Amino acid sequence: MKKFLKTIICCFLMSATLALTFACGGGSDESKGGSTGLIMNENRVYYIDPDVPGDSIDNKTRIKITFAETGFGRTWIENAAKAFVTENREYWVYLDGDPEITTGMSNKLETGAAIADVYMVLASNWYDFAVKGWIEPIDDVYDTKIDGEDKPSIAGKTDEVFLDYSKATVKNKESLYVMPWNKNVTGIAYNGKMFEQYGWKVPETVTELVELCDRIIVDTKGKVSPFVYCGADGGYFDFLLMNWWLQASGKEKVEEFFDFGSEEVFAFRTQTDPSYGKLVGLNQFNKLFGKNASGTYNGKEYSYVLTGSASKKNTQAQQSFILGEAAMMPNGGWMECEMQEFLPEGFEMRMMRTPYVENVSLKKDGEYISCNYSAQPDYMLVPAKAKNKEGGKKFLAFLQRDDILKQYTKDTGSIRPFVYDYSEGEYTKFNADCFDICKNSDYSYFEYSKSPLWLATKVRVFNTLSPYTKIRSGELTAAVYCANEYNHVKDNWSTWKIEAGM
Amino acid sequence: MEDRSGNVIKEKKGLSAAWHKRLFLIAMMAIPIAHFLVFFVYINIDTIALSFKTLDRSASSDGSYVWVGWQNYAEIFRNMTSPYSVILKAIRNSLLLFALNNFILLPLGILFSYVLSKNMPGAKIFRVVFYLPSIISVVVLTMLFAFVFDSTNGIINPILKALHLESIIPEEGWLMSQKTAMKMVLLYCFIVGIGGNIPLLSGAIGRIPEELKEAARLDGIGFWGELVNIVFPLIGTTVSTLYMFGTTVIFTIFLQPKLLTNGGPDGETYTIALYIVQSIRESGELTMGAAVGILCAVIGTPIVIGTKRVLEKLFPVYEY
Repeated sequence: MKKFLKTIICCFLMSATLALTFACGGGSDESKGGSTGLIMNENRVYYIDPDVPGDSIDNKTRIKITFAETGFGRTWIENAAKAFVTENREYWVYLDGDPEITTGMSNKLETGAAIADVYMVLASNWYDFAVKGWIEPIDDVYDTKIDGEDKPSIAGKTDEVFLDYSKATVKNKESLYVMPWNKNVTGIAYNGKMFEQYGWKVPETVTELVELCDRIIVDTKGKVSPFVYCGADGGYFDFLLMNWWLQASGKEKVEEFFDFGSEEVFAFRTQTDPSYGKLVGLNQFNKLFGKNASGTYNGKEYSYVLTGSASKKNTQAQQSFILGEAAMMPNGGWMECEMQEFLPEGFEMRMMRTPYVENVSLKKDGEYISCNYSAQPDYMLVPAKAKNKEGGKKFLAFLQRDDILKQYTKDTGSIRPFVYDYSEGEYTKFNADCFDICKNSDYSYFEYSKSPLWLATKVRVFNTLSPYTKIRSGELTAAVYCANEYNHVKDNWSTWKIEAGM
Repeated sequence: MEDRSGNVIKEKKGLSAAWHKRLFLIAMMAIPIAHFLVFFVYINIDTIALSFKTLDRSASSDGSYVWVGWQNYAEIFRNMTSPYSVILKAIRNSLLLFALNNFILLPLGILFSYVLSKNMPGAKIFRVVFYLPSIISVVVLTMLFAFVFDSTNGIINPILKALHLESIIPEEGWLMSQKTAMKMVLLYCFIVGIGGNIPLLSGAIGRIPEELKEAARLDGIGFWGELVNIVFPLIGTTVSTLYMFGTTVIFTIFLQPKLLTNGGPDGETYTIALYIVQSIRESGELTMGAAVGILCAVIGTPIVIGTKRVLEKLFPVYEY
């Protein structure tokens, strides 16, 4: 009996060991067939040249890339790494996907512990890192001329606004410190199939959008809310507001606001005031999301906004949207890629431009000024303490090559702020909508400032807490909010200037 | 030195026993002392210094912090009087959480531990069930909690609707309504925290000699009498320790509101610690965070020491 038990236990242990061995080897794909060629093994990407005897990963130099593994996934960076090591066989790439790297990066940059050669992080304040000397200037990367391309350098193919954003002056020397990651498109995502089913038209103006909201309530008998939003995560209303602000005030006035030259940039009463567009935007917000933003069906009032939206996190709100609880959601061009795995069969996500505000600035031809608020960009950088700065910079320059940029757009459905033709390839209707918004905009814009007041967080876009909660609850009107903010800023301006070292 | 037969014996050279002892002590103490010097003395001195500085962001800056005197502290006090600052709300909420911990959760913990000590059926299971939330990740628990109250997936709203109580469901949802947000954070802390003290209190109650309780019972003491007159005084030192821990939450609790509401809506659920965390992590204002931290230490240290003194008098140590 004992012998029998021993045999059983031995067999079990052997099979468990074998199972574990196979399970551990499961991560490698191309390496299974042979040990040469392009190999992607877990997080390691390298190329073993079959014509070079003894070629192995040990002979190569590592480039460690830590990237925020969020909405855009990792396929794009894997493809870029594969292409890179195939052409640069002296390197191998280690890919470290970390969704939380944005908040954890400052410690790594400061200490240099387990530091990567390239960081790709979400929108955040990198300026202080540059001032502290934690980031390597990458002017040489921007100066790189890419073989076979007609542009004189990478800087020459970079969108101007993003190029300016990437500059910082440290020790009286201006340099480029970061490489912008993406050029976002923001607007209102909508359920394409639902719009088709009920024959709803994509609205051009805010008035049309309000009419559409009423119609959605009537057509769906109050079962579908016009809007859902993610109040717990915040920031998504800014996509609408900034588009309206830009349209109403114009790019120059918004830029004047973000220069923070004086407290008067918060003035809002006349159309020439920089914050006039903020007031206009908040008024539009009130029409769609305010306390009285509701439609009637069968004598019953239905809010334009799905109940509980304010408490929803991004994923919860997007889930409500794809489940058909709401027809629209303020969002950005990354949404479809982010929700790819969860989209139900036949669901068609589309994106509309933020509807225009009537009776504000028009172009000379009488058309509305169209703009795309692209939200603060995520960015890439090389740490000053990186072990392989040269490799990191080479990889960064490689990413800006036309074919790699096109591959990025194919993999993510999103564009990067560089001049390249991304029209080839098969894209979803959602991607096509986003590309159209971007192409057909008079300009793209995102907020950034080099003012010490902004960098020291003395002033913000909103300085008297967020306006959205107060306006939604009916506690404040847009005009009262702007007036309160203007007075608050005026009262504190001189103190803030001193505190910011001005 | 010579032996009995007259041979010269050489004295052994080397360290004496006293030196061996000294070396041993030095070796044993070196790491804790180094730890203390680096992680306590250095960090605290650096934090104090940082609270009087700010980062020089001028074009000629070399990234150093420059001396600004009391500027950071002045800003804190100015913010306190501003109608748009969250500091006052943070102080209010921290005190609410302190009250919840010490005046609701701790007494309930004592009561439950006492009941469980009575060998009631399923006591061991209940002990595990009560303690379970304390060992599950707060990230997972807050996510579950948020889902329970979500308008799409949650079970609370359908139950209320079934009971015709939909009028009490906030339009903004439970976690982001100004009326309910902080209550939800408190409810979460209540549900999750209720079992946190039970293992320590159960251990303390378990050490009370059975003879004492038996003697009291022979004298006719009842259920509540035993709890108040026998158990409570004898576990007094454990209770006072837990009370001290409960007091420190005023300055330390931030993860729960951060994960549930991120301090919103409009700062309604901020705590002092969350204010410091947000200052440092989101705006990169290390110096402001340092100033708030020092201020908390200045206010908090006398409170903690005073509380400790009072508790030592209230709950003397009994030998049994």
